[in-house]
Amino acid sequence: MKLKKLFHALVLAGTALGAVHCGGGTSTPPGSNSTGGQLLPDGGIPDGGTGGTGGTGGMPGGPPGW
Amino acid sequence: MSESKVPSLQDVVAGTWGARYRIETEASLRFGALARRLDAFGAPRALSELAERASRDETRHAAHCERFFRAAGGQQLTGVDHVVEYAPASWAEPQRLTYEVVAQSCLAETQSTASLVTLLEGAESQELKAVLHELARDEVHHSRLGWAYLAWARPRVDFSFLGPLLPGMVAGSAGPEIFKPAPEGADHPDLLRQGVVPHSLRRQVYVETLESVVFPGFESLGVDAAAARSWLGKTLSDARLIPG
Repeated sequence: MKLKKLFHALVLAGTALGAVHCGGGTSTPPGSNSTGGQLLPDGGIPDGGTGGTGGTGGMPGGPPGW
Repeated sequence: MSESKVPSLQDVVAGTWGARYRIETEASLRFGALARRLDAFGAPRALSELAERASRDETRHAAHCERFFRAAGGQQLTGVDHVVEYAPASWAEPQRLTYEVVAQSCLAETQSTASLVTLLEGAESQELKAVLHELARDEVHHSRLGWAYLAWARPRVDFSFLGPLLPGMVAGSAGPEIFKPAPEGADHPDLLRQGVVPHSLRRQVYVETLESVVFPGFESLGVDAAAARSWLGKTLSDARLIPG
């Protein structure tokens, strides 16, 4: 696989997109809580692990990919 | 004749498309929530629009996964209908949002893109090729969202909290099975023709993508990947995948 091409297509292209908007937005000062609530809809019972529906509130994990 | 418990190739194919259906339905919900959250955080509209688009894309992807699941003889399909965030609720909003965007886009979607590119090379049917092409095209944008967010957020959010958490994020995303020996039937080379990356190749692609795309990407944007690199080295060594 051409990983160098992937790096360009994802990381560098994404970085360029973000950089274009660097002066934009109305940034929220770090430390504030702009939504004041649970991030994701409905909450639910966290089951952690992989392919699950969320974290455990302890050691955070991440969603699975393909 | 004794009954074999070894899963057939079709079982593995159906199981994989079923798992992908869950991944896609979960991702659709996560991107929908991230779009609202990015707006609330004051991120550029271009980023929240990318997340909105990704949410719609993932719903369409889930329908493709369901079709291939059924075609492979799959019966029971379960999607994800609710999600909670991985970041602890006790964190401040900028850290929580950053963690969620990075976990979903920089990591999971980047890895998915790499898997799809791998699959494109081996797909057998024109229908499968067309779908994989469509998905790969979309996932590129889903991944870029994360890297774009980091570039935008860099002057606004202190990323120093993230580095020590990357091993847990990567381990959670990879899943515990990827560094174990292949389950029965999961390493068959014919799987590639049916849209499934054989276990050993999947691990190879995963590791190479971390080393050549994800970790350098983090480092280029001010996120310390040293802990994640150490974790990967130790994990591979423990699994005897590289000399200890």
